[in-house]
Amino acid sequence: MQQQYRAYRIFRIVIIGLCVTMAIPTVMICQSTHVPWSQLLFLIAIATLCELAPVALGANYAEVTLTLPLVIMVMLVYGTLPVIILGPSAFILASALGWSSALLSHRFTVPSTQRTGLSSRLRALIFNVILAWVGRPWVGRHSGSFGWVILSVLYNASHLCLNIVFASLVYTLAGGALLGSPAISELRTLGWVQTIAAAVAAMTVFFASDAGIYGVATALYESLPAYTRTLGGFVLRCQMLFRQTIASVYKSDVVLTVLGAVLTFLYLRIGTTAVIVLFGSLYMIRDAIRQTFQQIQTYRDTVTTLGTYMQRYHPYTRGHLKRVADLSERLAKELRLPLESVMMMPDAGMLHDIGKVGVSEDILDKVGKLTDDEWTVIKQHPVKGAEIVSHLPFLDKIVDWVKYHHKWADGTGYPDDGKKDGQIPIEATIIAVADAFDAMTDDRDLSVDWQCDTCGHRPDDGGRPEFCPQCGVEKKRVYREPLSLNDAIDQLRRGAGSQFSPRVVKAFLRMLERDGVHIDG
Amino acid sequence: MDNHIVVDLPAIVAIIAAAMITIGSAYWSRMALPRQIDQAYRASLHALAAAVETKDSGTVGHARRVADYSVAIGRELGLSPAELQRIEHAALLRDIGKVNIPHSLLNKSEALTEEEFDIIKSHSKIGADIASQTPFLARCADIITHHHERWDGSGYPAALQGEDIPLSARIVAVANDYDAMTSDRPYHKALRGPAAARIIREGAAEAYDPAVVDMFLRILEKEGTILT
Repeated sequence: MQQQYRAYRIFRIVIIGLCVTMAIPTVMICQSTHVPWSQLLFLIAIATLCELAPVALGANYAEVTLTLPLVIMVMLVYGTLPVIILGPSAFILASALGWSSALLSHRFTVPSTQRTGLSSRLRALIFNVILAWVGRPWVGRHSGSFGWVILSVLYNASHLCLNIVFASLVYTLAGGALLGSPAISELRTLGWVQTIAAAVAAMTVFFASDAGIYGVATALYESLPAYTRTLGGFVLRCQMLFRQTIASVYKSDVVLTVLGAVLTFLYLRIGTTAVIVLFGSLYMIRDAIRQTFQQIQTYRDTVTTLGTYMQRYHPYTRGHLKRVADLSERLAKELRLPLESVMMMPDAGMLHDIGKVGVSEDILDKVGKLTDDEWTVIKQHPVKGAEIVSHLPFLDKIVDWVKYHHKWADGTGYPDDGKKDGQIPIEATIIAVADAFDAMTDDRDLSVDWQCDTCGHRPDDGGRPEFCPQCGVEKKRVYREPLSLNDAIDQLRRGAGSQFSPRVVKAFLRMLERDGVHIDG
Repeated sequence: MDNHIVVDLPAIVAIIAAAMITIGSAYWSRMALPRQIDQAYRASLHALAAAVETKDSGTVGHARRVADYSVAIGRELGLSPAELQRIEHAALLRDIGKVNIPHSLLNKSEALTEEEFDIIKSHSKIGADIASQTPFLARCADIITHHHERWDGSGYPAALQGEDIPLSARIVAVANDYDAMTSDRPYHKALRGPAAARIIREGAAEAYDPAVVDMFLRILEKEGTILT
């Protein structure tokens, strides 16, 4: 195991230990009723099936398993001991049964992210984290090691178990009644109110514990030097992951909790049949929903196709587009933009220059100063790009981002339509900063004269031949010394307020500083 | 307990809910979703076409017109809906290969040299390559390849003749040429509809499939562009 995962590994063992030491006293403190073994085994079987077959509840939701409503139901009806047996054992059983197919290939990979190459941690969160006790950490590189997989299964089961432990403690301490106990028939109005309040509190604690443990685990797993260097940075990162997880899963959590309530109600009134009827019909919508994900994949493919199109047209932009996409996404996160904006940022970054297909290569690659006419053509590219993107209904949010990515904060820049800071979408100003920063720190520059770096020849006519006329070496790009990081930052800082939005520049500097970049002045 | 109660309300509610969910999901996967996916495909193709046109002529809209005319001709010829859809997609993307052709050649107002014209000609093959790499476009590749073939075998890239050219490609060829003639390009001024129609009519049996031209002229008559 690599050195960098040591802290993460220790954390997992700590979680497993904590789970074992907490589960036993919790079972003794908290209330449980008697459940027939046959009934418990039946519920475990159902939970295992649920765990093996994740369901998506809609296009904007991540995939979830229906184990959670079942866990809620058992906790409310039968109490702590049965649910502590049920949750982890269903998870471990499912892991054993679905070893190769369901668990390793389905849950733990992020196909859409990997296939498009527009990978982002956030998207991975959305697809994988929903049931956070199965963590992203299990992906890929570790799945080969048997010991690691065993540890992962135990850790994930412990994670779930700890969530249950915390929730049970809260439910008991808040005075929730066990719905399956005979005493329930004597419960009065106040008792019911207390029970419902206790259940809500228990579920809140459940999800908080879930996201919290996940956040720490992921922050440890990432091992980004910038975050792990100081305790403060690490805590900040954990908080950020916690917030992101909550933001991306709270809708599904609410849905699952409501399902849990419905299930509990039906189970108390009808019994076992309710479980089968409810899950049966929910699984019927499964394939329909799967197709929805396929559709999302189509959207992603389109963005990739368009992005590739631009790259084919002008190959040097490849690295640039990807870097702008990544940087813009990070900036959007840093500025705490709505999740939707953050998610669309990589697409916008990839496509922001697509309008350049309408600009002749002669102008794009021109060495030296551009004429006014040529500038006029260049200045059309954001509008042209916006027009191309506007054909895609699912990208209509980014049309204006593309259109205004060369608009200055003070109202100059292009397109010249009188918009000023405040009317320009913040996302466009983010792309502007990312674009400018990457261009400044990139080593490709067309504003300097063409010079062969093999023999030093410099054509008199200012041309830009593909082969050096003197030594014949192929030479397609003109390189320069990139600006140093400090100079680039200085440029950004000087442009804040005129060219760039001060808010975005500030966030950018903050981000760099947290990455451990030392900034002068 | 109360054995005389036969109707169990929660059970009925649960069963009705299950039935509604089942019907809803069936509707979603059989009706609503395919329509949405189809629209998404089409939107993607329009965006790609717009990207090509932005590079090619700077004005967007040709692809849509060529697609509309091609589908109209195909419909008149009684082609199947699936084939009409294939024609539409191919017509939108017929020029996607121009991504590899430099601007200076595409928008050159002087006569092209033979080498330059060869480069321009390569766009249909490049386009077919690009299309065949994308799963849902692969089926359009043959139309894209042959949309510049001529009925008498003087076209490119394969110089196919007569019915060796796929019918759909013959259709797109007519629609494409008509649209090219009626729009402004650096190397020629736009012709008016009737003048372009006359050229197409004269080209029947030489450049175009006479049956396709027949249908096309009938469509132009119908929309009032030319008189009967």
